Amino acid sequence: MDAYLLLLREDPSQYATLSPAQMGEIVERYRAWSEKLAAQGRLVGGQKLADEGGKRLRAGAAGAGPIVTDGPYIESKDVIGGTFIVRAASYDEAIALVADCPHLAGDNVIELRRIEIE
Amino acid sequence: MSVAALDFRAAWGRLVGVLVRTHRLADPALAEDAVQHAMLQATRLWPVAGTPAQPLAWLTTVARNHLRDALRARAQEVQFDDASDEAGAAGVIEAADAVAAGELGDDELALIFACCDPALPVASQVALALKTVCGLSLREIAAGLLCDEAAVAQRLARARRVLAARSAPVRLPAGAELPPRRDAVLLAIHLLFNEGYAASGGQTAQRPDLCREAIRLARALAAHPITAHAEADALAALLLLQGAWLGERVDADGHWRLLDEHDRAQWDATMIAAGLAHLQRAQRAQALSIWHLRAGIAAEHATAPTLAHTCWAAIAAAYDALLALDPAPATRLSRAVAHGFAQGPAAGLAQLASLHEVLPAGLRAHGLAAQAEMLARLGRRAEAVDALDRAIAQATTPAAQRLLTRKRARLG
Repeated sequence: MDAYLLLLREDPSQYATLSPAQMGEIVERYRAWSEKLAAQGRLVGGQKLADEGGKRLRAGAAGAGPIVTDGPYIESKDVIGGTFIVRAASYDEAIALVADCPHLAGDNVIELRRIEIE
Repeated sequence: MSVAALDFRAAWGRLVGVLVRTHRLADPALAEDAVQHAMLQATRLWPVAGTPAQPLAWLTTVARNHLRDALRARAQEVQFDDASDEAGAAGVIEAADAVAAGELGDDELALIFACCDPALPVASQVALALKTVCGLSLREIAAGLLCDEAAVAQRLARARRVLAARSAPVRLPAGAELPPRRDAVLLAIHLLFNEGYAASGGQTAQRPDLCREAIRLARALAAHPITAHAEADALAALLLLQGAWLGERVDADGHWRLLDEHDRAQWDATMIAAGLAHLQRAQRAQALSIWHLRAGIAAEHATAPTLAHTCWAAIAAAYDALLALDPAPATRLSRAVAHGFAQGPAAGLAQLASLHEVLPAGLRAHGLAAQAEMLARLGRRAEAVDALDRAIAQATTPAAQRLLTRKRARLG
């Protein structure tokens, strides 16, 4: 069975004005979904990428170190906020697993990529 | 491995209350910011990384660190001693079960009393309590209080300036301070319930979550050794008895049902029993308060097996007594309706006639609908239809408009 990477793309500013009840609902929806997948043996894991920015590196002049800039992520409306990895036999199966992922709400996007192992 | 879901809304007041106490804050705003920050972090992290084994302790630590940074940034001396802070943190962990059960602790009650400061207008007290203790968003508060978000924000900002000007840390009032504060708290809780119960703005007929918050607060107030009082029991009784039919008051589409359309078997028997128990405890009062009388009326409705078996004479008598304590137009209107059933529609009509001029805009549709009801029972159908037409025109919410239109259709 292959592994598929879910890149959870979103606009982080959408969370700024949530009430505690709404935040609790979000946490609960994801919890229910990941527990369901874990129980089916399909969930490998998930990781949160920190919201505070990040760095961009590119090659600098010969002999010098790389050029490092702040990633302009925090102002961006399209940020990879986190990842899940799931097990599936094909893209179709992976899509079926992800179809009810609570990340699919509003303008959020899930980018699904098969992890090349061989 | 499954971790029990944390009720964020119930945790909110608990965490704000703990931070306010352990850091001896006079103004809860900084504690609210810290808890908001911690919950937001949790909302970003937990969905993908998993919920920690002790979510409440996790939130406490993150919120406390954020609060300390904020206090240092304001160049304020960070006022806490580690002993009381650690005790607070331990208390939070122990409180996890209480939060899950929706119980309120001392810290939250102290917060309610701080919000219901008699120096603030009642509407501001309610807005502040909803924000600080119940953790409602500006949008939710605006929907509940029938105003826009900007107005709520302004109201909260003004209220916070009043609180921030105080130097005394938030704590439960005692001695002579307590009774006037308690009156304000009872009033604010009742207003909170009503906002959920009586068709707030917008399309929804009721907001049961606001009602549940109000019931939770009233019961906690009645149960706590410092704040316990017969009037708090009476209020808890009133809210529980009215809350018992929340589920039947609207149909599956969220439209109002008329009282004779309720399936009384669906009324929440547990809430009715709890309400009657509070009403029993409220009997220790030396004098009947408005809460006693209103709870008594709600109990008559809640225990009547059918609408036809409602003891209208008892309800009318209770309204007579209530009128002496609370001569507001709303009381007079309900009293006229009760008399219309107890003594017949002609008696009710006579009371309504003298009342119509003084009804505020928000009650005019109710007054006309009551008039139509009694006219119909007297066989004066054309006049009843006319009154309902005018009621529909005066209705202030879409839900009320739909109900009245249906009533008019029932007249045939």
